[in-house]
Amino acid sequence: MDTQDLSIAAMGQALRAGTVTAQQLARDALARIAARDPALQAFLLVTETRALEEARRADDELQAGRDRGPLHGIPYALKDIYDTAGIRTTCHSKLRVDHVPVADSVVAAKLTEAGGVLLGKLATHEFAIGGPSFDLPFPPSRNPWNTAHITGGSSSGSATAIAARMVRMAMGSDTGGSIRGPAAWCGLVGIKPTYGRVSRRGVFPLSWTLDHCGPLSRSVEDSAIALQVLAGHDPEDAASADVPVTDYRAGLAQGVGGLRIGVPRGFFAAASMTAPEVAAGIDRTAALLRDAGASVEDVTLPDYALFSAAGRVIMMAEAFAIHQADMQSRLLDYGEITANRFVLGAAITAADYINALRARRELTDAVNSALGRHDALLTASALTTAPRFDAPVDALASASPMQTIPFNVTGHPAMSVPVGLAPNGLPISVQIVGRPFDEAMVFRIGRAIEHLSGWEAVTLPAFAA
Amino acid sequence: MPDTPPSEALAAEFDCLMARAGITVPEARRKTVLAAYADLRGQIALLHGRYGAAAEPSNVFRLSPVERQ
Repeated sequence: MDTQDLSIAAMGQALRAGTVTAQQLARDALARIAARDPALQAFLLVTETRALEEARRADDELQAGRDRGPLHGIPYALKDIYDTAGIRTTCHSKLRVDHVPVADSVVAAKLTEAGGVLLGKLATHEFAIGGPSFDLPFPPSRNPWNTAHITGGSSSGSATAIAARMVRMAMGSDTGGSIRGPAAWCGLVGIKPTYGRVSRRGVFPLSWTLDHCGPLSRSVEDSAIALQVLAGHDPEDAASADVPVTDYRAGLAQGVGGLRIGVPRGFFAAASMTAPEVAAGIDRTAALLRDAGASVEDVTLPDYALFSAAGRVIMMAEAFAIHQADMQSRLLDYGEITANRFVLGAAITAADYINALRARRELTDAVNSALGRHDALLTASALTTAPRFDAPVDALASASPMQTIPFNVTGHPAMSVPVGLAPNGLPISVQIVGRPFDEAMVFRIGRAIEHLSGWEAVTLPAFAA
Repeated sequence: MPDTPPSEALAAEFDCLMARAGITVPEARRKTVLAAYADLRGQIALLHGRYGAAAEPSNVFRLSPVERQ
């Protein structure tokens, strides 16, 4: 059986039917990593021995009648900012290149408890912000759709590994779009859940009040399955929300009939970076949703620049607070992009930060108001397709091809879903934004888009097995 | 810091802020970082003067009673 295109649900069915074993799934994935990763650089560390041990245990447990649920025996990988007990966790940085945590992050522990099989640790932009860069201890990962192009960041290795079909699901983190951006540029599904929905404990912080943990995957269903395992209250995470978790798969097939969807057209329509095919992708998606029975109408939100300014000030100030001591004593041990970005945090005053937090309140209220009238919002994830390595985006500039940070500022759940390929052969995507803790609605609409857009028929990049 | 000052003043301001923070920006990176600072100042200006005294930040918090154990 060729296992590389099996969904998580299909792998689970095959495991329980006895037509495949967890050990075969792990061995197949490890073989794909060995064959493909040298050209793509998704993995910083492959945990082969552990993977085979976990797979053997998963098989033994199923044989013995112990079923841990939908991730039992399923291979996955972690962005290398997630602590893993006894396994090096570097943040892709010289500063932590030998760091071996003594305890698992909550996410890693939950995935282990769910029976997942850890394949390894994945490339990221340094400290989830500085990249793509060639002055770090490890090279940047490359976009499987065209290796001359970047993946986006910072969950770069996660996106590469999934788009190259090495693994079906990997964890990312999202402070300004680091799940949704790479997902958009690599033709994947990436969900940033509601702030507080998934524990951040044991994940190296970039900006405490903007950081979110979530999965990237090949499909909406995969992401729904993964988030079901990850979501839940953690009393030891100060931001964790004690809000019941609903069944994320229950509504996937319900379609969008009768739903009201708002399009904050002002976000992307007048932006100078917006590629015509991206705007066309949003319009086409809106038309498909209308044809499927949804009401889709433009909505007005505050100026995008205000979201962007609040997000950048909050992120830079909080990141600098985390890194100040190392910036003072070891500035040159950071990659240049990282250092140049963190340095800006030193220039933000207390009043600047407080004003950004006042904006956050205003902006969150505005998005909540729009979502009082609509079940979800539809907008761009990224305004362009993935840039080339030799024509990078200015990482220090406020102008960005990503349209993701508004919902880090407000904390609303947001998911990137691919909708097609641009003329250059690279994926384009849309972003669905939901009410707080209504990830189920985001998944429901995302699943409809995935189906209606024809994305399911798109063939992912081929690599030698 | 609502307005973006002339470049010399901006550079002096930046140097002052870096010195206060104990950060030494390598000379080879100074031009790049200074340009990014000017860009950031433009964003900060969007947030300045927007709110009256009654507009509270998002981190204003609410206490819950604590029971004696």
